[in-house]
Amino acid sequence: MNYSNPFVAMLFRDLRIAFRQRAEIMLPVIFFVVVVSLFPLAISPDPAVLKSIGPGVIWIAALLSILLSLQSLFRSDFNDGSMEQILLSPFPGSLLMLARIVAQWCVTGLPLIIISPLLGLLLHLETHVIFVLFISLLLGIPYLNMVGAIAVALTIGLRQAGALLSLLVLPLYVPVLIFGSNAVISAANDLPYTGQLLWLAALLVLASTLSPFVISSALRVSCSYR
Amino acid sequence: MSVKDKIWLWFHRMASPAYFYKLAGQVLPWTIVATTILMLIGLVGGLVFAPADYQQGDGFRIIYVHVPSAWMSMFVYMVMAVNSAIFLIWHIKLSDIVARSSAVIGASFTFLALVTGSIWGKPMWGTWWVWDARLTSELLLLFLYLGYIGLRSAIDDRRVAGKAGSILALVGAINIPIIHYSVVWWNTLHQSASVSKFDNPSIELNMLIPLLCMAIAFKLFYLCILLINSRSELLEQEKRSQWVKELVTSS
Amino acid sequence: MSSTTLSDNNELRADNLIYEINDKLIINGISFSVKSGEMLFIEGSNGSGKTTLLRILSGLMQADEGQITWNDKSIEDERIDYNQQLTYLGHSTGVKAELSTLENINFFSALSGLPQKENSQTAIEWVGLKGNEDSPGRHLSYGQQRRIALTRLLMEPSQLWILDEPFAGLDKKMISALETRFKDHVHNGGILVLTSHQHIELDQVNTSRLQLG
Repeated sequence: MNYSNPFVAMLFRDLRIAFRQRAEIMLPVIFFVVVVSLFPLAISPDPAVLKSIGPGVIWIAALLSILLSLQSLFRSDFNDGSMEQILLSPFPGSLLMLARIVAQWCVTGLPLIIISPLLGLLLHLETHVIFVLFISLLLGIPYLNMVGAIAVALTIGLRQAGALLSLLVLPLYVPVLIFGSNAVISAANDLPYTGQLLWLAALLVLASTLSPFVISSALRVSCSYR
Repeated sequence: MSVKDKIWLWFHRMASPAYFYKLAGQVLPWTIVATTILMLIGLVGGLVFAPADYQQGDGFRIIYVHVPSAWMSMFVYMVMAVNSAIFLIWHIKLSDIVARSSAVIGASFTFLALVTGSIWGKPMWGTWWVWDARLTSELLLLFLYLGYIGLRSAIDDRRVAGKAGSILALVGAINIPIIHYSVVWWNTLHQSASVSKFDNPSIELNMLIPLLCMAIAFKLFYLCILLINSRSELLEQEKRSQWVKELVTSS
Repeated sequence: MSSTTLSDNNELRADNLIYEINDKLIINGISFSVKSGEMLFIEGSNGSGKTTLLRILSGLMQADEGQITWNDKSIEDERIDYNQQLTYLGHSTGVKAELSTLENINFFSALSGLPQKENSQTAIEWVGLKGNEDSPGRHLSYGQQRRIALTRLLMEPSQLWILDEPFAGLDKKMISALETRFKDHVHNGGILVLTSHQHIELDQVNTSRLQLG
């Protein structure tokens, strides 16, 4: 069997669906920008203050945007019966789920990463700090997408999924939040930041090797329930 | 019979609900007695006979609850994760029951460790809460437990709840070392070395013995609860089987 | 209509299946066997467990006890092989609201992993959706969405069909086209397992019946 065909078919299907609901895919990015722009209003517009809280603010806002975008992941597939067909296809569920996550990252994670330098400017971060911010998000956000998808796969089909999802996901996001925001803070203080970025990369490798399998078996469990 | 065969035989026997039910019933009274005795020794030894700490005075005595519950919080999660793996791989229902009852006990120990840690912080640091690495890890561990309990109780179908919970417990088990390491690392950056609570270079023997008694008593207490819970869960899950029917009609 | 002959010595067997929901036995010790060239018709009132049984047979759910074998191998052990031979149509059609008829059909066929037996245009004509190739799923009625799902019966050369209420939401003409297709499938050595509220009779088809509830 040729494994690239279903992967590509799944990826393009999801991208096509996402781009036909433009309003929905813009939502996480808009949320990201709005949350970040609230902080100067709530705390202080003083550049010195913004510089010190900036990395943490951007990282938390990115994390919450991803959490927001997770709510709709798998939902329509689960409701319209596509998930059953996906699980009953002769291809490994992990492969198809990897395609699903890559598509999800393209439409929710990538825009956040692209727009983050702009938010760095808004919070008066310096250019080399913005560069580190960009790299840290580039390595960290796919991790958030993948680990989040595990929790979504476990809670899909439950009535109170939203609140439960945050409880399941947020503790698992802690390491990435710590390393990600700390890399940026270190860069701002002219301290070495390579270690933190390498940690993010290591976590990303771990998540991308394990999570597709976990997601597909979690979905199999969730779909066995009506 | 080789050792390996013996172990497998034991494993199979333990996995048989009827055998486990009977064995648990026999072990339970002894466990309760041992728990009570050890806890009495530990409490009296720790609260009465152990000398007051030269720095913290009598305030340090809270470690006789705090330290064993902190140890338990991790230990119970480990038991939960191992049983979840056994349940996913070999479909042994008993393991699922153990994992499920462990979650509530583990969360309680974690909560106890947090509360006692924060009470202890008041005389030591003059504040109820310090973002210290251990307390923060403990807090995140509590969230993991609550997530597990929340997920299981949100799913009404017992079979699905068992499998979904097991997957979550394993994901959590992979993440716990990462979370713990990252929190410790984060803490070393943000805090100048504070007085570490457990790294007393030398602890006096008459302080240590009650502590160890308490630690073992806590483990046995966990075992008691586990045995009681498992027995009642087993009866419910196996209500259609022959051995439960015989048990009910004979009594 | 093409008539590729399917392998004619397949067997789907269920042994003493038991499944309970909320302490109520929904499926109580069901056993049966269907072989190539046979049809199994599962009858029963609402809530008698027809859908549950079909989901268990497809591998979406696991029975509490008992086992299902495909050619003497447990379907859980040989999932990839089994899924390749299986076409399952449930209550939900699997049709995406955002995709057009043609895109939906193409995705189904990519997912089946099998070479298409018929091209998608023939399939669209067969289910009477000509002219709707580019309409997005959300503009179609439930019956039309079901027809999209039914194209899989023409396009996938699978051996075993498990169909949950295949006639729901269809008009007379489509029902009779479907019945013809069922006969073709069974006569070519396929296996058909289906539920329906309607009492259906396919002449010259070796039918066994299973009454639930």
